[in-house]
Amino acid sequence: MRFLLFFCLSCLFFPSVGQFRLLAPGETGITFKNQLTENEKHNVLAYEYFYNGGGVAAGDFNNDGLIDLYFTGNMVSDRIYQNMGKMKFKDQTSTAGISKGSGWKTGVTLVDINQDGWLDIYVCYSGDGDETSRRNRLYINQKNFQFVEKASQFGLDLPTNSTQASFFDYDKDGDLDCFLLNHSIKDYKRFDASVLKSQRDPQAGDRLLRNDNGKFIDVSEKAHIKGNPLGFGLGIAIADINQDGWPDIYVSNDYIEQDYLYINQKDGTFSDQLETSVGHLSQFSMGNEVVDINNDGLPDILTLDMLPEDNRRQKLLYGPENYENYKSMVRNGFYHQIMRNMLQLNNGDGTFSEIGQLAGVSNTDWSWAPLVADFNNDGQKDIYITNGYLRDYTNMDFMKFYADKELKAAQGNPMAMMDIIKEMPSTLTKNYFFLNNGNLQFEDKTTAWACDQLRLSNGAIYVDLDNDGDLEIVTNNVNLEASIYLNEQTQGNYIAFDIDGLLDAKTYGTKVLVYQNGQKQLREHFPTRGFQSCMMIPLHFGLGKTKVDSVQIIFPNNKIQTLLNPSINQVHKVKVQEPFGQWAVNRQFPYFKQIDTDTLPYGNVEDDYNDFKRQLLLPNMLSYVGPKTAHGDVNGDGLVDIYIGGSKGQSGAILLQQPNGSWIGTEQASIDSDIMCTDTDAIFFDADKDGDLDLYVVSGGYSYLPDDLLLQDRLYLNDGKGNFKKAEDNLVTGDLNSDSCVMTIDFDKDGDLDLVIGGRITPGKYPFSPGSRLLQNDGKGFFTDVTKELAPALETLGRITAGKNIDIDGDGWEDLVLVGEWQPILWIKNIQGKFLASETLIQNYPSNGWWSSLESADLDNDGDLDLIVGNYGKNNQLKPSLQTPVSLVYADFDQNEAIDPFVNYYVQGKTYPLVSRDEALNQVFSLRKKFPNYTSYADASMEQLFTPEQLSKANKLEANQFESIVLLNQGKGVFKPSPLPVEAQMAPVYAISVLDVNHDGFKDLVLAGNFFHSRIKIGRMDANYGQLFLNKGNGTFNYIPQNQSGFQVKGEVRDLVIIPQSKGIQIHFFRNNDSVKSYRLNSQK
Amino acid sequence: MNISRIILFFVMALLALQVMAQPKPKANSILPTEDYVKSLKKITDVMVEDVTGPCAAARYYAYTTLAAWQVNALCEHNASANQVLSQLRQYPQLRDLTIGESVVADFASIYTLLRMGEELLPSGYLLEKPKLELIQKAQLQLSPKAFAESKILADSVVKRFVKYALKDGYVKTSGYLRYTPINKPGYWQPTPPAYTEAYEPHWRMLRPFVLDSAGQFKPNPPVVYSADPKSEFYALTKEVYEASRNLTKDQLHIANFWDCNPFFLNQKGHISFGTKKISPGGHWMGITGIACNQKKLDLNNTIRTHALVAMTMADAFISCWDEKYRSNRIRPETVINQWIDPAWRAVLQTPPFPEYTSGHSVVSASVATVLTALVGENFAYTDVVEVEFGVPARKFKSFKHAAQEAAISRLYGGIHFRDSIEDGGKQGENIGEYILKKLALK
Repeated sequence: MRFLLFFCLSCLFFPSVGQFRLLAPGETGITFKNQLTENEKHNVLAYEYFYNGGGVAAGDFNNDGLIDLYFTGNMVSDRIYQNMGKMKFKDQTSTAGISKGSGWKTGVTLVDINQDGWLDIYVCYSGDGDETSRRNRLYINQKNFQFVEKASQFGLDLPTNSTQASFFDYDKDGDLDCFLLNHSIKDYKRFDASVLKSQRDPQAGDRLLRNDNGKFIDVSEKAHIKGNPLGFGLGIAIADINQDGWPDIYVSNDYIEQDYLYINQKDGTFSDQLETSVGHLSQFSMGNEVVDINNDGLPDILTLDMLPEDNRRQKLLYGPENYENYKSMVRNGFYHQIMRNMLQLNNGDGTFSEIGQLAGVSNTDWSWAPLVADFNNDGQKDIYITNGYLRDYTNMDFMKFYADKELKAAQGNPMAMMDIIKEMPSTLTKNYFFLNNGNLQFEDKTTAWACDQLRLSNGAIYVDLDNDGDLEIVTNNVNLEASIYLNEQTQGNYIAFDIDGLLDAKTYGTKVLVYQNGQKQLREHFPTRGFQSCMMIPLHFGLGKTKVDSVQIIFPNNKIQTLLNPSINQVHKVKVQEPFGQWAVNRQFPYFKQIDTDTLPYGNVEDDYNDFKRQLLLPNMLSYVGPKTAHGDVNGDGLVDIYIGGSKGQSGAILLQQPNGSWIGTEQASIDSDIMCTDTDAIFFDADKDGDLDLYVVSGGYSYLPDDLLLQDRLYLNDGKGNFKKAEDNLVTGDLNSDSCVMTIDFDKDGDLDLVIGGRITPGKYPFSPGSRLLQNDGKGFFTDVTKELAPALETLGRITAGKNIDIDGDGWEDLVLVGEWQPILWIKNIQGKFLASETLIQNYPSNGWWSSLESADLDNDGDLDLIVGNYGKNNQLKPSLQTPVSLVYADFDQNEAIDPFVNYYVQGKTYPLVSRDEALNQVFSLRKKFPNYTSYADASMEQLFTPEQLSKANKLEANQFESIVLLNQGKGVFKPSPLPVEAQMAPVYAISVLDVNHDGFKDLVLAGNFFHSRIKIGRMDANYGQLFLNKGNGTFNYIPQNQSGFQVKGEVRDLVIIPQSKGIQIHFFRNNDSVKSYRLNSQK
Repeated sequence: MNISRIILFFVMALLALQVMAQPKPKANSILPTEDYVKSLKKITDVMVEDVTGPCAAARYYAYTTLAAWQVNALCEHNASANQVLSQLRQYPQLRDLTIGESVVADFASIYTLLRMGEELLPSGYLLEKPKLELIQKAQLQLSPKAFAESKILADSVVKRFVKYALKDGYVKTSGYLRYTPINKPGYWQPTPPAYTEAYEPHWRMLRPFVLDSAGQFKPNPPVVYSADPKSEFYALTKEVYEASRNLTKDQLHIANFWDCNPFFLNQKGHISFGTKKISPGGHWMGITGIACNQKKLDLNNTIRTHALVAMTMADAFISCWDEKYRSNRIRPETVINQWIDPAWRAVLQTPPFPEYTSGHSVVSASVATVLTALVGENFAYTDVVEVEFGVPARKFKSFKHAAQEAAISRLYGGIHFRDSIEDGGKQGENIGEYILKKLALK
């Protein structure tokens, strides 16, 4: 609520139109232009990073209080500009003694290398030239804008192919060490190149250089810094990522090699913990930034990639999805990488939740530098992203058609390819500006803030050039003068901190925490950021309209200085010598604790099946649905036992709880015999009224024939001691449907439990589905299918994923609520033992979802049952709404006896097929004639793919809601929908549990899920580590951060079970193809 | 069977051959033979542009050239040709077609060829221009009646042939379960640089033209996979590895000459692009054109020869692909990288399908067998087909010589083992012989 209020206020007080003004070179005097000249010797074929562009640095070279600028030029001279005030700059290059040598200049880093209080400049060199031309240069400040090159004196004249250097004190010995980010210039994109991972490459390998009394010594190997030839380092960030007081390193790598997340081991070494920390990452990682984006005091990681925003450029970029390719990549030891920007939200427990798509910052084309800072001084850090690439050859038409045609036309001229590329048009793109709305959501303000000029921008910085308290933006552009965007905002307050002049080694890594009204903002003093750029500037915080309660300044020596009610709208100069307290790492006491004893001795082994091989155009795989469980006391010992459903090739298991809280398995020959079934749901109930719990198991899955015998559901009767035997004659035989769920319901009030089965899918024929069924119990555990007679409403209800039996309208007859894919939340009213019609449960609210789970509980303590419904979430490319639904158009278009299901979704206001040209053409061969190249398909919608006649015969399904929601029961069948908090939308929700965690009398929620088996283009959805939401008392919820909930559940959770035990409440997360992860509620909390 | 009948049959066949081989002057001949060959080359060019894979290319060649031959046979009232064609599997019924008295065989046949290409090929629209040029040329020389009757007949046959092609099972292959590589030692895995998924795993489901079934000429199983350095398989692997390291200039030329890779992927940083060449089918169609020209066959026989070669090729691919996805054998590149040298690269790019049997070996042997029967033994010629792709011409003593060289080129190129080449060659010969016999061409 407060957020909402704040947001509205910010709308009123921060008019955003034209916030920036692009200053002309004539106005500022900055005429630097990174001009590239392509010729026979110098071109992208000779040096593949030819178009990566240059960097920018901001710092006060003459200590006059005005921030000066330095630009690197790849082929042209670097330029240094003195800030004369009032946005006027003087070019001091000619006498500065900079830009030595003929080499290819890349990143620039400012550092006071000799700690004399004057800023020196370290410039990285690369290119395909000889060793001398590649040596990095260090320009020592002689005052008066004069510099002398002395790299060799410091041991910093390395001839590596360098991108950027970052100085920091990794061993906390009081001097500045250096991380030198390098890149390969050879071609390593093959997966079997993993054999090279352990090698060290003298040119390409990254280097950690320890400062030993002014000499920089290579300690990379000893410090466990990787240096293999696969490293194409394009981004380096230093931050205290795990907030233990020691600086950590994030390196982003282009191409196949994944990024490195080096956690400082405090003993002079680092440990790459990328794979245990993130679920997936950018594939062609470019520039990066590690900074707290959501004001929780934890640095988050933003990496940039190349995914375009618009449909056309995406379609030109994508070939067929190749699952073997992807598998091969992972099998060869490369991690899960997908081409798009990734925003990794720091969970504070060593894990990250990637939310780039939810945040709306994932698709910004060929991107270089992310700038994360508060540009409108509203208290939330915004994001600016530079992008662009001089030659647009990364499209499929170039690869498949254009290049060959042009090469043939050139008739063997050896320079033909160079000439062809030189003639390629450059696709000028706008840089992106995202306003942080404060709720993990960003709004594209590129045009509104007047930053939508088309250009090719690379290195970039933010800096307050006119000392007016807001941040200007400076970008280094290819073949165009550098851009200076003057920030003209006037509304928001700010505060900034100059930590002892910023240059002293002992200030590096200083954290500043600004507290306002319950909100905190964090910045760390590490000047090198983004892409090839550096900002030696005071740490800046926007404040909005609120004053500052307090500021904590935490120095690297763990001394802490607190300022109470500091004055705002000024730069505070902070001295390291001033009085301090001692900083201690704040450890949370979480709600739940992982248990390692009394865990369930069970691990799910999933059948390795690729549903896309059967139906190429599926949006998501339909296998990978288990394990689902049932629980109940099966042996009458008063303890709850568990059935864990099997997957194809692994039979289900009954685990008995022991009085000491541990679990043991049982021999169940009858259950074992159904080993080839996929159990999609199970329930314990007394089917035959003999006083014990029998077991009904639903068979489903996708890797079967449409009427496979293995799709028959099973009923196992209990002998009272927990031994189960399959009842061969009790069920309708030949009920061979792939189903999803079962409910027990005494729909006819005859005193026994009848069954409702939810139909899911016809294997191989998505989206066709069997209907759902009502099975009537004769009181002795024999069931008859009475759907036709008593539940005609169920006959056509398919694609069901979950259901509940609840008396919705309070008439004393239990109704059904069913949810599924491509349909609304369905209410099937029980009219005195008959289910005649289904209706939409909630009105005037888009509710056609890809619903995946359903739970009921009284969330507002008003005595009736409310509903929690899990959905696909918003952290993906498809973001449907009522106006922009995701649709499925399907028919056997080419009459080859296979269904052709085309998913369509909206991109920038128009709906397009999800699949690439190659996938469409491989499914419907006749489309080959329509779309002979990628350009012809790039703008195609269904209307171009098929004729009106074909489309008129096709069917269409729609979804307009992907949010997981809560439905509060208002009585008489009226439900009020409201979305769950944004964190619940980070991943598909497959399991919901209800439990009063904080003993306040209100039921809280645990949500789990994730999905790894979508299309490659959608990628792994893994941001949910088991989420806890506390009930505010009225059925609305607050997300509890992972380091406070204590949950750290990786993988795909398919079920959740809460078991109260004497030692405390246990909660078990059942994971697909993985073990069960178990937690106990801490009683102390 | 009594001996005199055999002799009689033989003599008749000989006579038939002779009749066909003699160019007979015709009143309404308006187009030179090379117009057919040039038109077919246009179809080849479109296939190169479209990056048509080897199986699909053979299929397109078969339907386009057979339709042209059929129209030619109808126009010429060529009973023996009609007889041969009618034996093809599920051949369309054509009896009800009216054949105008003024039809002109050469125009109608070449027009059919281009029209079929237009209908079948993804970028068939590129053939519209040569088709219009052909029409223009014909209209200048033919009476409106002759032109109209020829075109009507050709269009009718094209329609039936498109339907005929549509029902050969190809369209259904997009609905079958897609291939998943078998994750066990010795089985095929996707190969660098693109790790492309398996090409046409269901090609065996297509209807052959002459063969009983895809599996009719199932070769011997390949040498058993074994990582034992003393095993036969290891020796085969070593042979490929050693050959690649000691290639003579001529062997390298041979490898490149028969590369026939429709899409060579070049990668440099973020730049990737394919350079394209003709498929094995395209190469042999080119050879057939050279042979017909050198032999100075008339148009009718040129059309016939091409059609029989193309059809043989199509069946050979079906047979070969049947075995490929039966044995699912690993490629030398994968084995050599695992056992001998992780950095080793095949001279040619390894194509994206299982190794056994070698497609080029099967197809070349089958086609050479048929060409030898149709054109002659020890027919020496110079093959200039690859010149346009920058590979110099090569001279051959016979078609079989060429086929043998095409086969061994795969070993030099590092993409096939020797048993795959030898067994593939036998498989191809068997197919060729069978087709000759079955259609009584020999």
